[in-house]
Amino acid sequence: MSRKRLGAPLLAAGILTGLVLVYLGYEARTSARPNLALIVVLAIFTVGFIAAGVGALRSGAHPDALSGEPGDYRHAYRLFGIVGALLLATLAARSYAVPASFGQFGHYRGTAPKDAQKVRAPQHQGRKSCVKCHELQAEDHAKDAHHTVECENCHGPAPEHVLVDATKKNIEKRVTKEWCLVCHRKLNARPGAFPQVSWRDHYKFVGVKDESIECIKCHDPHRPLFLEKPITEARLHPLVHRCRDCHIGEMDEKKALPKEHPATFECSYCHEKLTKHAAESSHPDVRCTTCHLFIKDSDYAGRIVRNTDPRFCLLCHAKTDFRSSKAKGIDWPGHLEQVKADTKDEETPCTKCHGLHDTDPAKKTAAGKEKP
Amino acid sequence: MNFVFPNEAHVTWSVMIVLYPYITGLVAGAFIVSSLYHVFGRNELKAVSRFSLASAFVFLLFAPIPLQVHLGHPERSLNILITPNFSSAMAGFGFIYNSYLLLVVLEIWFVMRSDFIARAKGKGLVPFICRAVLLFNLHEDDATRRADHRIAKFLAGLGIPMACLLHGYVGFLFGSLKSNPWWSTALMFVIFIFSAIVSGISVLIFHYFVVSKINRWRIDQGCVRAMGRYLWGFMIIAVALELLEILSIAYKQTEEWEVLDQLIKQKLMITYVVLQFGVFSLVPFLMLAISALFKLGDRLTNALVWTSATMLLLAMIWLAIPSSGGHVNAGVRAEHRIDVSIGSATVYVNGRRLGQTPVTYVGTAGEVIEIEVRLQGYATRHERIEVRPNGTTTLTMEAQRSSESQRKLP
Amino acid sequence: MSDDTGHDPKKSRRDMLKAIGVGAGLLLLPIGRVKADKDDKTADPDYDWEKHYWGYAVDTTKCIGCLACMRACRAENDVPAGYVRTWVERYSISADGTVRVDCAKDEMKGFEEVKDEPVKSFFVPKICNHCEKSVCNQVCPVGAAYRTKDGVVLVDTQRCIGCGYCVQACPYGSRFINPTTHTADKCTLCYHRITKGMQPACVQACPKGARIFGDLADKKSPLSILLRQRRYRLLKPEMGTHPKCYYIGLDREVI
Repeated sequence: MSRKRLGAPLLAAGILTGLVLVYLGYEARTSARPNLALIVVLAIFTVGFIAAGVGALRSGAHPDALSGEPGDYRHAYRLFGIVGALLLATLAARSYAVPASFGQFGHYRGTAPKDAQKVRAPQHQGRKSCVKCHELQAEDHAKDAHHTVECENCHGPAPEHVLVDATKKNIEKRVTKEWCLVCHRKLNARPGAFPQVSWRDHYKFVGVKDESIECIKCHDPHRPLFLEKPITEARLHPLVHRCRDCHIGEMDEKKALPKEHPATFECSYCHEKLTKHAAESSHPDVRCTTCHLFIKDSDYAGRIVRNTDPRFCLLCHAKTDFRSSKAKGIDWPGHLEQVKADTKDEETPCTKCHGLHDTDPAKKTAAGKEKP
Repeated sequence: MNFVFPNEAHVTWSVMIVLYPYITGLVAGAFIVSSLYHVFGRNELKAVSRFSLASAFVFLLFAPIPLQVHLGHPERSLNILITPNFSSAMAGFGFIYNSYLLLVVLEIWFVMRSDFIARAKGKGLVPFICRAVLLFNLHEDDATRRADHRIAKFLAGLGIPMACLLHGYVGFLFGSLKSNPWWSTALMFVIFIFSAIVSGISVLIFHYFVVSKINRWRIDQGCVRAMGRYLWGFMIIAVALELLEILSIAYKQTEEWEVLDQLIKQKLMITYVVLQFGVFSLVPFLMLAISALFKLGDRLTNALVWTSATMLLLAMIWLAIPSSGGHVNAGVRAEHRIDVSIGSATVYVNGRRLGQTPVTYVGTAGEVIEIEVRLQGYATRHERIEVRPNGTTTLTMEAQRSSESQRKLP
Repeated sequence: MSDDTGHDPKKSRRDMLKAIGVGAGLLLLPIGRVKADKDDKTADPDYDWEKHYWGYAVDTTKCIGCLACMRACRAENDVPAGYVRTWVERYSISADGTVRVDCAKDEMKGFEEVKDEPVKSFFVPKICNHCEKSVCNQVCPVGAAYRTKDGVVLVDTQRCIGCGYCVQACPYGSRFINPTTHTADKCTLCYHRITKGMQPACVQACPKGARIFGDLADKKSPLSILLRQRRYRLLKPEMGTHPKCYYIGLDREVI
């Protein structure tokens, strides 16, 4: 291929880059961050291509005899004139079409963040807004195990109710067992320390035969454990691990630990007398942590709960028509009358008459202390 | 693992996106064939040089339509010209496409000026249109023809890098995307250009035979043989590049290979390996090799070349489709479950009653359906959902509220 | 030199070139370019975006997979059904090394039990990482994807043409095309809340404190303190996107 033939493509490339350069130059005047490096590189290429193209075109004789004679280009002027006018008009029109604030902070419409701020009013108002009116539930809720769960998690966001008209009472109440299981279903992926149940096992443990019974029949959603003291103030306690905290799957907890196993605590390591005593008393099959809920506060510390609220004991001991468990069922507060207690107060802790670990009332001394 | 992020279960770039590179590939290829004659003096291609221009023009006009159909807001598509973001390869679309269209129009104007003048004489609509196209200047002599010829040559030369740009930038668009290991390769730009030339020559051969048969033109055998040879040569390069890309990924076996390996061995085994490489590449290769290397009779050569061209056109479709990663799920039967948060609502799909929730709609993956969910005491919900295999949609029903909408809060 | 028609080709060529030159020159004139409106504030008067640089952290050791975050996000931002702005993945790694990842089918029903026996299993909540060098901003053809001065990656829904390039470009699967507005959509870090001093809906909803939101510009913010105390990792750092979402407790398998 002779040098002459290269002339046209080279010139073409030069004109192309030149056009891009013109546009970028135009853009650079109004843009926040003009890409100067690109412009300089393109300028070099443009000049190079055009020079090479023109040089090649002018060199030597073209085998095509046509180039020697002049051509008549007048018919082309009209065409190129129209094309040029159209291009200019497009560029001019473009300037009007660009939004006013475009490019102010970058290659975007400057007023766009403001639009993003105003896209909608916040829907979720947070616990603080519910607490203002619903003091009773808020008090209960803040003390108990669900204290970190947002009200709106179970009740849905209700901005109209909170901000506009509190008489609009179309608030959701998600109360089915399926709903509780969304969080509390036993899953391998859930951290072992988090309270989770296989609901059939749990129902078997508490003696519920009817599968349609909802969790809230026993557990008040605002006070699932009926804690008398705020959970955040429960006593600090060294970390107590169960097998599930590290191991996934069912483990035989009665098996002896292998030699290289990391140190774990059993309650009896520190509370030897008490655990022995409890093992011989009325709650021998119940683990310490069933009543003394252990909460893992962080990787370094935990808290242990002591709860003498009668409703907590009633979680197992309430006599109901849907449950029949090994735990002796009683009628509350009818039980107080039955045993002719000297108080009719429903909030009387069971431990007033029944001991802490040995629950035979006969074993209590007059001072209310347990006999060892 | 076969995990896709939940948002990626929806295929965003589908058939419409695939069509655009395919069509611009045809355009670029056809134009380059025309330029082979006008600039590089390949006289054996003279017969199709103008035909290819017309071909390119027509395809080019059609090319943006699938893109506009794909866009969420086609009415805003001019934004690409108004505020183009030059860090994005896609921003080139407006300028490159429009300037290329302008170039093709100008080239046709100059190349076919004599034909327009011949048709412009007389009364009637068509002559009037021809006169309008000529801008009412019908003067013609040797000098003007020389001028036309030179300008056409110049434009044809200008058009070669522009054609490469037109199709190449689409390749760059795919190839520069680091988040998709299937596409991300520096070779993509080059693959696209060569596959464009292949499909361009193929479509020209295809059309040349079809149009010649319809209009009973005499087929220029020299041209056909030449196109067959060019097709063979460019096809070898294009397929080699494609193979090179996939083989180099297969050899390096970096992390993304596990996903690609599964994809090729399972979902894409038929379309990619068997059909695209096996049937639609190997067979045309052999046919074109035979017709190029051996001196066969005219009819046999024509048959081989035409069949190869058609098969390569189809191969290019398959090249584009798995490359775009689109519709791997399409056509798959999908059961999509529809449920509500509270109570049991009645579900209507595309106007027809489906049943009471929880209800399962059986359709095809990727299908979009309009559902209406009605529940006594709650606001009726209208939704458009995309059907996914084993997908579930649960709608939260809001109790009937007053006229003041929840969204208009201060 | 002129030919028979009295037309001098050299002169006409010169004229044409002159015309082109003038035309090109005209391009450089300020034709009707409207200047940016300086009075138009881009932020509410009380909120100064120069003073904040928002970041996010996810503590995967705390996540219990309750999906309160997904529900809150969907209600807060009207996220269309079938798409997510934030989601939770569950990883199950079995003894032979196979990894199984899944998402809950329905956030109102939560994760379901699976009959497998992993040796390791955990949840990983995910959101848009609001990358400092986000690929989505780079590939948007019309300038509808941008990052604010306070570090939040947003979509200008007025300019977006719905081409889906950003959706393809995001290596983390954070973006989608909203079927109602037909524009790109993604987590906005609840920009309409954080500019009013509130927290994003997902952060507020999490009962375990697995999602932490804060101001990276403030060395005393809870997020900054957390990042100085705990070991964290980014997702797909090899992509070079410089994400601003820090993951604590990430395992090797997390993608």
